[in-house]
Amino acid sequence: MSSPDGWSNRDLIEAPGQSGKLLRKKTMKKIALIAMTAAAAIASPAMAQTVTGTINITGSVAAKCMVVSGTAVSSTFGTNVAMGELSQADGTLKDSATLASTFNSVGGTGIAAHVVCTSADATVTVDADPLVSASGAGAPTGYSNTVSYQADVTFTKTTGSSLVSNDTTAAAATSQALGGRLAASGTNVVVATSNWRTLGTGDELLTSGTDYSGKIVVTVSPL
Amino acid sequence: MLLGRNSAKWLVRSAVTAFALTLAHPAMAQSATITAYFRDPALTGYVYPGPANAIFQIPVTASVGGTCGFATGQAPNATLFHANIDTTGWSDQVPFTAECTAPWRIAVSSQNGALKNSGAAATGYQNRAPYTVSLNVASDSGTVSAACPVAEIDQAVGSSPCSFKGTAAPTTGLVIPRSFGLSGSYIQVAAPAYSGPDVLISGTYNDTLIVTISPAS
Repeated sequence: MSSPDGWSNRDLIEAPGQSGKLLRKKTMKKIALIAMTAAAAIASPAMAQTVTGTINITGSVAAKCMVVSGTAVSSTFGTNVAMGELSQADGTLKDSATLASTFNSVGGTGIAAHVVCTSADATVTVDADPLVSASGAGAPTGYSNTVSYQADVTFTKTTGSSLVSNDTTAAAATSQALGGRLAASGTNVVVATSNWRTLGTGDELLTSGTDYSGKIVVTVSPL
Repeated sequence: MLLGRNSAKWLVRSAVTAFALTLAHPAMAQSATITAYFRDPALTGYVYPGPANAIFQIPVTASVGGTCGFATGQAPNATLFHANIDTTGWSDQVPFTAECTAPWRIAVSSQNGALKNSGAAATGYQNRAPYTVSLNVASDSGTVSAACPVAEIDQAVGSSPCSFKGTAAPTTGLVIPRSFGLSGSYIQVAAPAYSGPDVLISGTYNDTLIVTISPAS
C-alpha cells in the first residue's frame, strides 16, 4: 500500500506517539545495505583475472644402438679383411703376431666403428669363426685346412673400456653387459685378433687353397 | 490515512539520505537531516515547519572493466604424445577461443624449457630435446603471430627475448587486440627430428606449457 504522494506505509508509520521505532530502524538498515552494496559495486569494476590453459607434451626415444659415420647413421659396420698368404715358407702358419698385425693393417678403419646406444647400457656379443678352406676338407694328419684365432673387441665407454674376447674354438659367442654407455664421440669399437694358430701340434702344414674364410660378428644391443 | 488524520506532523526522518549521499560521494562526507511533512488537506491554515518532501539525490556511476577469458570448454588444454622424437619430426596445434572485450595479453611458460628426460646424460648424450612454440591468435585486427624456441619461455629463465614468456598480466605477454569468440586461434608446438648435438638418451620426455591470458592495461 502506498500513500497518494508515493511514500510507502513503512515510511509513513512513524508518527508522534506511535510505536514506529522498530520499523523505522529496519527500513534504515535495509536502505543502508542497498547503498553499501551499490557502493561496493561501483568501487570494484570487473576484476582483472588471469585464466589458464595447460598443455602436457610427452615424447619418447626408443632404446637402440646405431653406427654413426659423420652425419650418417646405419645399423652395420665392417669390412672384408683379405689376410693374404697365411703360410710361411715352410708351409706352416705364420706366427700369430704377424697375422694379428696383418689383420689390423688390412682391416684399417673398417675394423673400427663409432657405435652409440640411446640406452644406459648395452649388451655386446662377439662371435669369431675360424678361417676354413672348404677345398682342403679331409686333410690328413699333419695338415690343416683350419686357422684358429681369438677375436678381441675393445669397447670404449663414457667411463673406462671393456675388452670382450671370443676364441674360434669356443662353443658359443661371448656376450656380456657393458656396464655403461658407449662413448658418444669418436671410434669406440675396435676389433683385433690374437693367438693365431692351427689346432693340433701347432706345426701342421696348411692345405693350399684360396678359399680360406672366416668371420667375426660383433653385436651391440640396447640393454 | 488514519494516522495522517491523527497527526499533522507525520514526518519521515531522512537521516538515510545523508548516509546514501556519503556512499555515493566519499569525498563529500557531509550529513544533513531533512524532515519532510505531509500536508493533510483536512488541516487548513496550519503552518508546517518544514518542506512537503525530501529530495534524495544519489548520483550513481559505474564502469565496465571488461572481461577476458577462454570460452567455455575452449581453453588450450591438451595432452600430446609423439614417439621417436629423435628420428621423427612432430607438430601439434592446440586450438583455443578467447573472449576478451578489450585488448589483452597472452603468455606461455614452459616447465622444463625443453622436452626433458629425467635420466642423467653423460658427455656426448642429451636428455633435453628442443622444440618451438608458436602462437597464432585471431583478433578484431587480424591474426597476431609469434614464435619462440621453448628454451626462451623456460620458467627458470629470467629475461628472454620471447614476447610471450611468462604469466600473462596487464603488462606481461603478447598484446592482442580485442578478440571475442573468434575462431582460428591456436598454439602450435613442433620440432624436426632431433639433429643434435649429441645423442638423445632413451626414455620418456615431457614438458608442460602453461598458457595464460589477462586483460591488458
